[in-house]
Amino acid sequence: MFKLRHNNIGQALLEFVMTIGLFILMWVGVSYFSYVFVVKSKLQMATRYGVWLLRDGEPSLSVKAKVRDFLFHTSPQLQAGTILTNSVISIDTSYAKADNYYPDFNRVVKIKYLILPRKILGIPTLPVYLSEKCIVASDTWHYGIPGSNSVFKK
Amino acid sequence: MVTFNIGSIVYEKIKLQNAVDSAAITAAIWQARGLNVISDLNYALLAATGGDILKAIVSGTADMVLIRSIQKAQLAAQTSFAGASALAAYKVFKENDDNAKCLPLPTGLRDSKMFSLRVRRQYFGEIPLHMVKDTPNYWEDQTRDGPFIRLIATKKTPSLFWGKIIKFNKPIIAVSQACAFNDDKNTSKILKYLGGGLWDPTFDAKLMPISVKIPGINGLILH
Repeated sequence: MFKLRHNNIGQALLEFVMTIGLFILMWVGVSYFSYVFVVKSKLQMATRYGVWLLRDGEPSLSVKAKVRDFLFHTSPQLQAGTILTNSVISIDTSYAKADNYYPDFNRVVKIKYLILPRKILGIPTLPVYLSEKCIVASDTWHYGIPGSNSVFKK
Repeated sequence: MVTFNIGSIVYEKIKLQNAVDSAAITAAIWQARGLNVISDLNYALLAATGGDILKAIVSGTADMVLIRSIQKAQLAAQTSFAGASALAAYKVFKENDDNAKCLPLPTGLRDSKMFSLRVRRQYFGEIPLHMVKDTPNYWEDQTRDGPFIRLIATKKTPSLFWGKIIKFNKPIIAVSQACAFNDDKNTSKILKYLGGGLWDPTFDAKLMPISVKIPGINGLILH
């Protein structure tokens, strides 16, 4: 009869090799999802920042530039030291769609962001498409003091 | 799972705070618009009567049709802008965060008319004149130069994956306060004609810092 030899040499190494890949996948996944939440929160803050600038009378082009600067040059920076290889961003600053309740006096900032991660262990991961918006009223209908009328210059 | 849930809660909290801030500032902006319109109409009354409404009405030199029309427009602005303030706040809040609830947060009886412009018609006997501040003390309290809006928003804690097992039972709460404010640099020019309680059409809106301790939620101070 063939007799099995009881030898534990290499068992720990074999278990380590079997589980390390799983742990790496878990670590990458957790990091990736954490980064998605960070980006979502950052985009939400950026929309608020942009819409507040619009409310204070900042021109749209300037707002777009400042929002981009906020996204890419303030901590946490979206493209520095992350797992991203490429990302697409678009910023839309416009008037909210008018409806029956209020006319188009509300300003809106919409930010769309596409996360395209690297392949993990040769496996392509799904891109994540994020979109955030913030709406606020902007115009206070203040068109100047009518005191310049000659009636009030007595 | 806890990591995911905390990340989601932080995101939802930021979103809720943005939504309630936007709603409060929008409501305050609508109030500012109403006050600016009413102030413009006060100036129109003054211009239509040559600078002294009472004297023009008593002496019979005033165009009463024009005066009544302006006064009706003021009344319409007083009521409709308050409603527009509440409606716009609700709409903006829902567009910014559809899964949350938002309510006014009065802290006393005098705050019960939260969206009111707090202006009233000035009378001399039974003769209707211009519109003035309804409660000047209320306007000037806490450095307020006008009515204010205080809102509270709540939302259920988001649950991801096994979040129904591992979750925080307390809801997410956000509070915001905004007011219409005015610099009033030109009012003195018309004060000598009409008396106190007037304002210029230079209202704008701003957010105000707020710290509220809600009974039932131990030690929670919200900003």
